[in-house]
Amino acid sequence: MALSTFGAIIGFAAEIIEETKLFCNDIKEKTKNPQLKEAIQHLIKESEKYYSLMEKTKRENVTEMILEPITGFEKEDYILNLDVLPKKDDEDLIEILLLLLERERRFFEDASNKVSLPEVARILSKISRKKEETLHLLNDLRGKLST
Amino acid sequence: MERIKNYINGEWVTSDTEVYGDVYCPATGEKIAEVPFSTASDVDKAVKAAKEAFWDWRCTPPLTRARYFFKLKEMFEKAFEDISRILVREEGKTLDESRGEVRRMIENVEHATGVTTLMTGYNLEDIAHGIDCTAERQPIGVFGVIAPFNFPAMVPWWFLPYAVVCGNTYIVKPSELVPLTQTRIFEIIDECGFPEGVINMVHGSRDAVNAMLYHPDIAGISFVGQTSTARYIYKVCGETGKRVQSLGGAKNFIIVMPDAELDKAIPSLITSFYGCAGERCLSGSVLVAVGDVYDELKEKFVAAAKRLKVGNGLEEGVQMGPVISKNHKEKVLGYIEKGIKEGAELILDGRNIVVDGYPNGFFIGPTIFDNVTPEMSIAKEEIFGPVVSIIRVKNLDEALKLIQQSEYGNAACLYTTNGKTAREFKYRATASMLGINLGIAAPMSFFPFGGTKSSFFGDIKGQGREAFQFFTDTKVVIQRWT
Repeated sequence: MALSTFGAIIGFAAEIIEETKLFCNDIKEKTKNPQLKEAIQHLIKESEKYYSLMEKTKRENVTEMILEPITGFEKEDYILNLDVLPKKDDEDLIEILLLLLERERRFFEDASNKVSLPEVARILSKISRKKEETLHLLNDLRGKLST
Repeated sequence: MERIKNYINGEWVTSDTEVYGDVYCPATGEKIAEVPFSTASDVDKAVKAAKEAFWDWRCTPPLTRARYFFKLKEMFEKAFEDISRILVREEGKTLDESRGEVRRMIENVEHATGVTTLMTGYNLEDIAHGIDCTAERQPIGVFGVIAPFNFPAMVPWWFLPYAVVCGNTYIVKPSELVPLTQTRIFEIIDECGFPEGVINMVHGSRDAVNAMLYHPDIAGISFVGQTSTARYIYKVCGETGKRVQSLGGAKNFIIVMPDAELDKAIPSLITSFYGCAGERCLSGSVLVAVGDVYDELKEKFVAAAKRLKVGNGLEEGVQMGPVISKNHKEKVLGYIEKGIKEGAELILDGRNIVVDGYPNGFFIGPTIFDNVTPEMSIAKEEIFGPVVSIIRVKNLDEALKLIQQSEYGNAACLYTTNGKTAREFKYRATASMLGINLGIAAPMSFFPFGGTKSSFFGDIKGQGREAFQFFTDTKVVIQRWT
């Protein structure tokens, strides 16, 4: 499906943020590792914050004057099927979290180039950068778990 | 089937009428509600309630009055998505367009809360020896708005918050085609706790309009709609001694110069011509190609128009919705027939568009005529649909002549990279809302909205600082105490 309007992009952004949060809520009791638990809690909080930000953006940054059609942006490029992925241990869970975060990082970066409103583009770009930081933290954690 | 009620004196009341109109969802063609065609006695009840409420409200300090609107704004924010969706269902525009409209409605509430600064008068000591003079703004009484179908949320709010925050009381008469949006908004007004009678709503059609126009206790009317009605409203308000601001139709020319940045201009042009399915008084209607920009502009514009996703506005990702009604669709199709008969070349035909899943919707696809000449009906008359007429001219002078000769003077836009050209356009274009490198010249709440020539009848436009002028009388007090 084409992400061809401002609302479609911001709506999908909220969807993928929510998907990360739901996954984190599902797994938060499965791990015994305190660092991973902490990372999951951090991701839940972050997701809640950015979900609210997307809702606010959809409401407050919609400018009738410049609601221009958007082309070349497809939802399918960002769909993940988590059901087929293994979730046996902490390493599996981190792998999935990394996938979710990388998907968000990539989506927000791409979206920031598609939306013509500079203030919204800045918000999206900032979230992408924040997701990159969280990705680094999780990668470090993965390194620690594997040693 | 839901039968809508009026809101009078803080209560939901059934109209005295036995005549109800049908409200349709333009995307599905389904009937979704019944609206009362209220009678003169319904209007009279609303006016009595508003008149009764006036004095206490007028004596309420402006900051206290503003606090109601602070609260209302927060309540609107909470109901934002709900209002937006109701609006799409009855009007047909896309969700983004609807959200944009609701945003603009809220912005007017925000602007009106500046009443303690914006309503102030002025004074001068010693206008003569020992004599001081003050000019004070005072509320006047009961005002009302007669609203159009195309912006069911926003248009009444170009006027209502300013009138009420200034201390007047108010009556809204929404369009009978789209009564549900304001009904939802009035549920919120009801929850907000305004004193009874301060804000009222009477649904209806011609009878309700005439009852408002001729009611001796209504001090002023704001109207937005087609030019023939705007002219009538202005005339009757003149006869009955009311203040009036009467906003009419439009025929907006969008000029593209050879030096325009076309890749930036095209998405903006598409929004201008096809946003809200062309049903807005700021929509582009005639695309004026200047000099040798013509071929490239036409090719790129047609390609972009073909890509537009037309469908039910409630589906996220749809870029253009249906027109408002079956009748209006017929009217727009009639203009397309007329264009063909008058010799214009139909290069994109939206008449037979098929929208999957919505066989009964009032859809018309993006339509483009080329080789249009200024004397053709499609170049002169307001179509209010997704129909574009391309006119080719040699230079800016010829383009400006088209605007100057138009009966209407609402909006006009120019795309250029040349400052001198932009200045010339700004200086000479005979329309009141101009866009330079944008296609929808929509003044925000803190600037006035309204056109000239047959697009506007009255003196003081909507919104902006002017709103505080329209809704107040300037009382001059000259004092000597020495």
